Amino acid sequence: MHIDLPALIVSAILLAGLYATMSYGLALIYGVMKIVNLAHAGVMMWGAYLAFIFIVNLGMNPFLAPVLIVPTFFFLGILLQRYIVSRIMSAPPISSLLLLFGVWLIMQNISYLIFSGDTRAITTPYTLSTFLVGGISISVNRLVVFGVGILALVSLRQFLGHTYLGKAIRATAQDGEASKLVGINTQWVMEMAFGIGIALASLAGSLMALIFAFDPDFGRSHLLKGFCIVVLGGLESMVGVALGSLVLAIAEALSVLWIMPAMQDFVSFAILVIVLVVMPGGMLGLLQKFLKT
Amino acid sequence: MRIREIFSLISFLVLAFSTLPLAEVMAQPKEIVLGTALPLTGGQSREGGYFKKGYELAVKEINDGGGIPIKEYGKNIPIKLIIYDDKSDNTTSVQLYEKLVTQDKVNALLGGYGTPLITAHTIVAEKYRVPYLNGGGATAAIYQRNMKYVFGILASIEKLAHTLMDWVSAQQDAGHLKKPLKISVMGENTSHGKEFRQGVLDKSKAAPARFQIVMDEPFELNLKDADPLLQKLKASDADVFLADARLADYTTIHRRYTELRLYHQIVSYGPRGSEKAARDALGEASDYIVSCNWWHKEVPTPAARKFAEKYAQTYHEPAEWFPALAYETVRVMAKAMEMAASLDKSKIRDALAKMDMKDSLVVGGRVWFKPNGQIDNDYVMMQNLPGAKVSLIYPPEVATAKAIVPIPKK
Amino acid sequence: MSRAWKMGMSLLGLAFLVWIPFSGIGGGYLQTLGFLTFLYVTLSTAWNIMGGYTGQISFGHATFYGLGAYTTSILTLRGLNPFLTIPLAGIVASLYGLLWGYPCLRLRGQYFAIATIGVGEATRLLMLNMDDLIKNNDWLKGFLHDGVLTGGATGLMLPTPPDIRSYALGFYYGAMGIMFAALLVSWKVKTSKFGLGLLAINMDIDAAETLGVRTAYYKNLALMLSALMVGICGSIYSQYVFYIDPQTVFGFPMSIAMVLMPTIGGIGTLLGPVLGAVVYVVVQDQILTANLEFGDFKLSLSSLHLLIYGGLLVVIVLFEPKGILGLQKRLARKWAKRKEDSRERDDNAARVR
Repeated sequence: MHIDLPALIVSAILLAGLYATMSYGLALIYGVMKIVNLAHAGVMMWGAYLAFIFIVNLGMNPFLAPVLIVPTFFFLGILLQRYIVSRIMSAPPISSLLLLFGVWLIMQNISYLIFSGDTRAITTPYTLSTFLVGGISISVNRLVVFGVGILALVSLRQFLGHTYLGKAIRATAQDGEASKLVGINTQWVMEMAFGIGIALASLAGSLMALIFAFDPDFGRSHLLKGFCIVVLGGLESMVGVALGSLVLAIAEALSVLWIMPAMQDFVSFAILVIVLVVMPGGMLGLLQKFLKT
Repeated sequence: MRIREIFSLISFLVLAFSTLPLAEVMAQPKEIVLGTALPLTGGQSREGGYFKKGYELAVKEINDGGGIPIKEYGKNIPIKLIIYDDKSDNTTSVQLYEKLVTQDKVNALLGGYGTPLITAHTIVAEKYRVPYLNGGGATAAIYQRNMKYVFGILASIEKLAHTLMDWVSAQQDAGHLKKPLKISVMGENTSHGKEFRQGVLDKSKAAPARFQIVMDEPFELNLKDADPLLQKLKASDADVFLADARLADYTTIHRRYTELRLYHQIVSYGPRGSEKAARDALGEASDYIVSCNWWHKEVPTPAARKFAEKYAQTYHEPAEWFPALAYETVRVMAKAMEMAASLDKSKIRDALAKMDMKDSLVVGGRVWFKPNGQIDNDYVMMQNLPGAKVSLIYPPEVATAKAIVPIPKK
Repeated sequence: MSRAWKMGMSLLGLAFLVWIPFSGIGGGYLQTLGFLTFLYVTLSTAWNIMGGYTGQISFGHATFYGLGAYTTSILTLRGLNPFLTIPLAGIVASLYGLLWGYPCLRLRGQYFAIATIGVGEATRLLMLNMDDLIKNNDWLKGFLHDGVLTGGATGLMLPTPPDIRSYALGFYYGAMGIMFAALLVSWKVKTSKFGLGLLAINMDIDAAETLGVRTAYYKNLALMLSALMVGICGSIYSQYVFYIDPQTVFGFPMSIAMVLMPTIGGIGTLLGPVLGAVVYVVVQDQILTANLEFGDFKLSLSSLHLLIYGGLLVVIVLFEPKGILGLQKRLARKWAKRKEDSRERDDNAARVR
């Protein structure tokens, strides 16, 4: 069986862009607040439904929809942090896990009530459009998602490394008390970080709505996969997420050659557990250790 | 300390349980109670919702006519329909069916939707000897457990696959397709998908001069990237592409199939492809897809047309096979009760076993059951045509057009 | 309350539980609910040993449930008496707990939780694809019976006896017995040196280690014990429904249910899991079947069940993390304090006069 390897690799790279985009929010919130945001799936799902309303019901351009959706969720994220999540910042980790899980359930129910459980798909003029590069067909939607993934990575690095808020976020992540001592308003910083994390999730959702069909249960498998990616990448760094996405996507694509495609997800989860146990710093940690020696 | 805690435990249990109402006894039944648990939330919520609409439409229609005539009481008795939500979870489904039988004291049970749910909760019907009829579980395995009280009006997926393959054979005999044909098949990793693939494999093994399987792959639900599968498909160099997928994965797979400009002389997603949601999601990319289903609204029999119109009028959306089969389930159950002339459960069960209903909206118009409780009727096959149209290509009695085989290249 | 009175009430309650199958309440539905409640109380209590006493939150406990269920089903299909498979099911689950627990228990807090999610999903996928994986391997394929080991997505169906209903009573009392046994185990653990060690690990694992508590050994033991009980429950479930599939017994929703129950009732206590399980079963039953009617407006509560669970979780986490039991204790303290205060006031008033 002669499989078109270059095409497989290209699609894996595009998939990596998708994986990265859907994982940044998770990594940011975890990195800064050590909170595993289970509501991430719900936000992606809501982002998808909001995109549906804008594009299908209001006829908006599909790539313009995220422009409206992302700021909306940014504010929603701030509100969520300020009034709900902030109360359990000092509680044991299970509290945040259960709290955000509860929030996710509520989000699902609201979607069921408004939209019913019907599977929705968004069809736009861009839906099936592709262009050929060297004989390999590249889907426009997936390319856009990949582009956004790269753009997000660059912007996030820029933001975290060179702006006051970004540096304040990193400082708070490193040491909350010390940050307060140097005059950082850690409460405000956390609100911003959470808001950005939620915004990133909604961005992923509104773009994925163009590629996948979805229903209120959407996001669950993406969330689980997101865990694998974030852990693989080292749990706290954006570059790590990008690297982790790439490694995972390529591993999954190549694994088709040797194992059943149905076992791809098993490989991801096995990697998740192994990485957690063996190299808690993820790939980035490994790389850093490598570079230090 | 421990005694106090045990005390609290037990008093709480007593309190909690006493919130349940006590049993009631009825002499002359003032209504016939039909109960069901459907997946209204969770992974199967779309189909569950359709079934609810179908059930409600049928019950309303019967009640508008006064109810079901039961000779033993000499009058028409209206139906009370109880629908619970089992959240697409097996344990909940079993629990709810137990409730329907014991607490709600249903006279008969209507089926749920989805093979795993049905396989699990049918044990309740058999346990309490309550007649159970479903239009939502097609897997043959459900009916292979020697159960006397379980009936279904969906022919098996295995037969669906066989019908599809037989139709391909007929195309070969008519000279539209060559012999042998190379077939690639993929199916979702559920019992539905497995049975579909097995059916295709069975027919191929039985006729190696006609069919050669060059690819056979299961895939996990909720695919994020169809590329690995489709690259394998491309490399398999097949003539015919068969798949079994639910709407979300069908969308992902076929969109990518189109983008990759793949081509096969026949493309079929089993029962999927001709319903409105599938057409909308793919647009003209879904043209010429062949599907094999238990019902379609274009079937020209009076019963099918009547239902299609009524459904469209009531719910303002085109009728699909889910509500059609649900609707018919109620009608068959009502007929069984009428034939039994009583609400005695074993009499209703016997009436179902002997059922021979004509003028039904199912393909072939006739409802009757094999000894194992499953119907064995025929399928209708459709082909999507440009312009969002659908033609019926099989069986000959209902066909509206000849199939376009092999499908044209773009 | 006097001890004798408490004793009396407990015996009355126990008598009530024993009487339920004969009472015909709800046409027999109370018996079904009772059986399910006993099962879930056991699950809840088992999880609590890990999550409550030891503080290691596991979101993957369904693996033990599933392994118990599958062990029983696989062995029963090969001719073994299902009754005998129950302890075996527990042991298999327990050994699996040791297998993945040993490396994973080194992880702290939420790392462990995330790892359990990974293990849970990986196990489910493995069981889902097991048959396809081994059918081509010459050595492993001997495990297949009629071409089936785990049955994959189709699951496993147990042969149904001609009179299923006659076993209902056995299931009810059996489950009740297992529940009390589990509670006994939980109580023994809590009041033993082992339990004290687990508590120490929960509070501060480093300090515990320094003080000489064998943390790794205790953690693994706790997981194995927890797994044993959950595996037995899985075994019983498969014999009750006669059908299992990977999604039901290995799925994430099952794991979540096992976390939800002790959390609602009162994590880390002896009776909290019991309360949580009862609330879960009873409330679920009511939610999924009740209908609210305001004149013409009908709303089935089941369309709100996710909202109710989610809301319950949020409220509990925000306002009473110790669950219902915590709430009850808080109210009891307030009540006692008010009685104290008023007694003081009376005393003071009397003194002044």
